[in-house]
Amino acid sequence: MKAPLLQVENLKKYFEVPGGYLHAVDDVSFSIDSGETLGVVGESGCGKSTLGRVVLHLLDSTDGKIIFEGEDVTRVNAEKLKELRSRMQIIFQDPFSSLNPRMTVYQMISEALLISGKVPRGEIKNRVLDLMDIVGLARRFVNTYPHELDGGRRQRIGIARALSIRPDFIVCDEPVSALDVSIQAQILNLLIDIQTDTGIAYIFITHDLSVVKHISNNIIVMYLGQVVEQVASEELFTNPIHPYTKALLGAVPIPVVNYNKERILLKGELSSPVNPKPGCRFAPRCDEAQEKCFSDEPEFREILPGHIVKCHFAKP
Amino acid sequence: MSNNILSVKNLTVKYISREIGVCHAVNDVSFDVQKGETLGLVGETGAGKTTIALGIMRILQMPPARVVSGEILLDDEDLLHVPDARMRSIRGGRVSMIFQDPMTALNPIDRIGGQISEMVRLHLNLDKAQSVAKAMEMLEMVGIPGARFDDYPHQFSGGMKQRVIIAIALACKPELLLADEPTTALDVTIQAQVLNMMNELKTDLGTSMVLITHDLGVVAETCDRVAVIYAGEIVEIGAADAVFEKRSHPYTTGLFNSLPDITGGRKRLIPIAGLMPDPTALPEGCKFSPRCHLADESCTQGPVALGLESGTHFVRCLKASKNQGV
Repeated sequence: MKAPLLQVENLKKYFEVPGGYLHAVDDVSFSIDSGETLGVVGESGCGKSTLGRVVLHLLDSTDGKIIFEGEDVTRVNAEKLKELRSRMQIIFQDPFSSLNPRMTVYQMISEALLISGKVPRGEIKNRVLDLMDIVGLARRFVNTYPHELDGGRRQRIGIARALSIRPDFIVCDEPVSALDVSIQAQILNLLIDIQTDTGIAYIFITHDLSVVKHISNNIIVMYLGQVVEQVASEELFTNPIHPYTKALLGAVPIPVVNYNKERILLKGELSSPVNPKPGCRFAPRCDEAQEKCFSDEPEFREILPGHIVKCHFAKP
Repeated sequence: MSNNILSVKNLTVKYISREIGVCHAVNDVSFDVQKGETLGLVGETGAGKTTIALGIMRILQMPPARVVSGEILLDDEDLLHVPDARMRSIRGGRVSMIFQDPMTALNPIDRIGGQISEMVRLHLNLDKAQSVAKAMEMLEMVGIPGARFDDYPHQFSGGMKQRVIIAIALACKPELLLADEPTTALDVTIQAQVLNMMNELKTDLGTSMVLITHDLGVVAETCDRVAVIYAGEIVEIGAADAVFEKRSHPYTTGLFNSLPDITGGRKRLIPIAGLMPDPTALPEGCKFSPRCHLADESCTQGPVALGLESGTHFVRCLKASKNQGV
């Protein structure tokens, strides 16, 4: 069997805060193959962005393994890190603050090419123009500054930058959340087309369930730093098992008038990720919670083939 | 007798500044809100939705904004022409507004309870003890324990803050509530709680509502009627079920086609070509024509009027009959 492109095992990231440790990412495992998209979905504060940053080594992990093409990259030296960086890239959420306002489109897209040294200097200009074609940014914008462009075009710059050195995978951190729906659709189509053409892998982080369903092969649902359900995309939407996933799906407003659906209104809000209590982290908001849920942490169990759920009472 | 609580007629608002020139934010917008109903104003960034709401409340910053023409009738009284003092008692009394961002809409250095009781003391002529009791009652109504009366905004989460803002907006039992993206900043499970609560309170108090949103799902769950806004114009208006089913205007169709479908299988999205027009240089004729696959010369030759589609459903499009709604 072929090894996956990226395998993450028991990854943890704790931040030291006054009074203890904030468990931002707590024991997360998954793997991604080339050409695949893993959707990471959850609400604000569930640790999904931290997960993306730890995987890319923008933040050091506290514990666990990140195996990229068979090699553990959690503790690498600076030289090795630079090489890795050229193979893993990120697209940020906010196209307004993630671009340097004092650099032109040309400077921003060529920056990584210059640093990597992979492309001879004489060819950089052509490569930049090719990238602009790929992401659908008209060549006439090559000397403009970000403030002259709208959100959709700026996000295309972010994508061109990430693609410039032909990475093997990209972490997309809410890449369409700041965009209007008509522009969002353009960017989603672009990301899918690029994947079809290049076989690149994505970790797609979002809070938007319809977007994650649209773009992902597999999905992990996170709650307070932990994965609560992990399964193929279609299955998650037809057969959600974890009570949190059910509530999350039920909460999405569907653009159909008088749409009948099962709605579970969650009580309360996210509890604190600092020094979390024993037991299931979702228990305080869960209708089905019983005594055991407040004392014992549930195991990951494969309820159906390839469908993993972290709940004591999960049934197929 | 009219059954309308609010009647906006031919409202035109421009932003005028030396640097940018004349920005045509709201162009000849007319709509009614009936007693007890919820009207959704839906559109993308820059469509002019918020400007309409700020215009109704008369809190547009002038200059640069200028209300060029129109009437805003609240029970036959034109809000554009009432004296300032009278407007102050209407604002927050008969008409109140919920703003988008719960993080910045509250005063960070005032206690939550004080911010609610200040409002009721001003409008309902209550003494201090009565206003505190009333504020306490409002907090409980939006599901916040009265014990948190003396807490500051930073001690609340986003969803709780939005509840406090809703409590303030509803404290004087307004007849009309303007809600500008009230749940956009919230997570979906919290959004579901807040929308649910707003629907219940609206039914209990009989409040009419104008709900501004970009989320077609939120419209489907809360609105009786909906107006689709594009480049400062209403391009389609009617009962929510009629508009959502027929999607007569090509822009409405485009919005729906851009949405990933969570209920069905995966198919390629069909985005709307191009970008929103520059509001300082709007196209001639139909404002959507440069992005529209149905447009021809007739669309750019002059203003396009709202045409009757059926019953109370109106569409501003010469080609609506050709639009298959796919």
